[in-house]
Order: sequence, then C-alpha cells, then structure tokens
Amino acid sequence: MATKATVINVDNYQELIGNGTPAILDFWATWCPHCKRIAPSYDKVAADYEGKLIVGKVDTDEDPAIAQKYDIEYLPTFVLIDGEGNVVDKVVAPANKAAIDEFIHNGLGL
Amino acid sequence: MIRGALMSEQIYDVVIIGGGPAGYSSALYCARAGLRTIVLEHLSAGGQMTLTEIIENYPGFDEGIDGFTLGDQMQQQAEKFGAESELTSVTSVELTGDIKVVHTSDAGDYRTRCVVIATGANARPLGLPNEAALADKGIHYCAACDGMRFKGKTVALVGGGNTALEDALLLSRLCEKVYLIHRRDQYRAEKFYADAVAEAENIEPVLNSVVESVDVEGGFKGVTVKNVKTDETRFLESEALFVSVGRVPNTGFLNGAVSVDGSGYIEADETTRTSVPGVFAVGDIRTKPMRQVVTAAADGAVSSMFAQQYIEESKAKG
Repeated sequence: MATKATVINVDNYQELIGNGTPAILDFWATWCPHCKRIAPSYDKVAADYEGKLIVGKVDTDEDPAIAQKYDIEYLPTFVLIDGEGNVVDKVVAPANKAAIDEFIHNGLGL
Repeated sequence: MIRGALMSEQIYDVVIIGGGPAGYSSALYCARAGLRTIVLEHLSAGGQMTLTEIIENYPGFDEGIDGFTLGDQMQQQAEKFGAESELTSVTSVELTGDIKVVHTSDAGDYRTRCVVIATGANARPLGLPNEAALADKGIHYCAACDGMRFKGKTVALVGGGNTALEDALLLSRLCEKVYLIHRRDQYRAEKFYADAVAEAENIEPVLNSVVESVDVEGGFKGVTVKNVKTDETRFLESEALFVSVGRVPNTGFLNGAVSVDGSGYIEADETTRTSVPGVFAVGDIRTKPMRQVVTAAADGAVSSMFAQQYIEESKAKG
C-alpha cells in the first residue's frame, strides 16, 4: 500500500511540525466535497515527497484548535510550513495534484 | 513514476480521459465487452457531480445519492469488470494513426486504439476570491440540480443569457423570491425568456450590476452588488447565489485535434463519434441539448458500441 497523508492531531502536532522537516497540512472536513475530491491526489503527494516533506491532513471538526492556529476560513486550505514551523504560504482548493506540486515547489523549492 | 503503459509498450483498446459518469459508464461497457480499458482521471471518480451534495434525478436512487459516492460506485463497478484507473492529468494527445498516444503529467504515455474523451465542462466561475471553497455551500452552478434545496427561500442568480434566465424562471417556481443580477441594462437572452422573466412576479431584476462579494459570516447571508453606472452598492439578502455565466468545456489538452463547435464543445452526434476516426466524445464535452448525469452515462454506453465497431473494422482492414 502506497504512503498516504498523515493524520495530524493534537497528539502528534508538536512532535511533527516545526521540528526540522518542512510540512504541508491539508485542512479538510468530511462534509466538504472539494476536500474529498482532492484527497486521492494528496495521498499521491504523500508518496512522492516521502522523507522530504511531512504531508499531513487535519480534520477541522476533530481538531478545530489547529485550524484556529492557522486562521483557516475556507476548506480545503493547504498550508506550507518550513522546518522551523513558520507559515510559508497558503492556498485554497487547488485544482489538482499538479497545482499542489507547483505550490510546494514555489514555496519550498522541492 | 513511469507506469507500465510506457515501459512495456502495451496497447490499450480504449483509453478514457475523464472519470465522471460518462467516462466510467464507457469503461463499464467497454470492459464488459472484453476491451482492455483504462480511465485517466485527474482528481477523483465522479467529475463535476462530486460537488453535488445530493443527486435526486439519477434513476434508481429514490432517496437521492451524493455525487461523490455515486462516482466512487461507478468506478468500483467498472473495475469489477476489469477496467483500470490511473490518477493523472492528461497533458496532450496524438490522435492520428491507428495507434493513438495519450501523454500524462506523471504517469507516462498510453498507447491505444481508441480514445474516449469524457473531460466534461465546468461552470464558468465569477472570479470571487473565495468562490471555489463556497461551491455547493452557498454558491451554486446548477439551478436544476440544487434549486430544490432553496424551496420557499430567497436566492440570487447572476447571468443574462438564455440559460441564466431559464434558471431564474425555474428558481422562481421554487423560491419565494429571485434576484436576477445582470451587468447590462438588457439581457443577452432571447425575447421569449426576457418576456417570461418580466411576467414572473417574484423575480426582481438587478440590472447594470455586478457581484462584488458574498457575505458568508456564520452561514450564507447574501450578496453585495455594485451598480456599474452609479457605483452604488446594495446588499441583497439571500440564502444562495446561483452563477449562470456560461460553461467552459475542458478541451485544452486536445490542442485542436478534433472539431469543436462555436462554444468549444466537441462535435459528435448520438454515436459519440468525433471528426477523428477512433476518437469518441461523451458526456458534457459533446454537443448535446441536455447535460445531466443520466445523459452522460448514456453516452458512455453508446461509445463502447462504436469503439468495438471501430476496432473490429480496423482489424479487418489489417
């Protein structure tokens, strides 16, 4: 089974984000059609960037505190974070995997 | 990652571009006919219908079904009979010759005898900054699909063509009130529609106006419009904004390889055959009078019949 996006929650957030490895977080919800539609592409991103980037997803209903920390207004929002935990960029509802790849490349040079 | 398609130079009978209801219906029928079939989809199965919370006009689901689940089930059904799927974006095609080539962004090239184009058409967005995130959550693009959800409510609709006015009339039969926003002082629609709108007591025209923003603080509250002649703004309290400013067929990757009509839709009749032998167009991408899930699915089935016929004739010619 190929690598999938990692579920980020209050239990593993501190351990994974801002500890040297850059990250991308997908803020989503089960009731959001765009979120569900982009999910297979995002899992493919997780496989492609394995070892170079933490590819995580945050269920905003399960973990609203993390969503509040990043001022998430719309779903899905993807947030790019550097190894020190600083927000590099945000994008709402990218069109497809190529758009996510471009977002990562522009923000982190990966 | 380069997939097996390129590595082994294997040839598919049918490569289907697009995994909506037309694409997966074609895949289902092609696979059941014994054709080696793959669907290339750039997001998830279901296409546009995945953005519809509940589909109530696809026969067989009396309680309705959400578009995402229906798409997923269509994919599983086609794969059960041997169709393959790949998550990738098609970047370009070579459609001349007996063996056609489909190039993808990250899954290599696919060689095939037939190509079924099922890439659909997307509603043209208004261009509001938060529009994509509000799709199906206050901003809607299909009055026939979503109008029922606002029965007895007040809604706004933006557009001035035949479809827009037709949508406004449909909504006026369901809703308490419809604000019809158009940027000019006259509609582009034919007189027949304009007269019908004028007679509808619960349609309030908001002419010479463009949508500035939507208020979604704590739920959809309404639409702010600006009069382009006076620069005055006005807030229209409403439960949804329907956008009917045209559609954009997804044909960019074809680079003119097949004939399209004046609006950019692929010219194909009920056989789904296009101007290029062995290339078929199904669903919303095809010239047709009605674009619905059920008509897309029907196209998919028909395409399999003519794909089989094309392959048999090609083999006979040797």
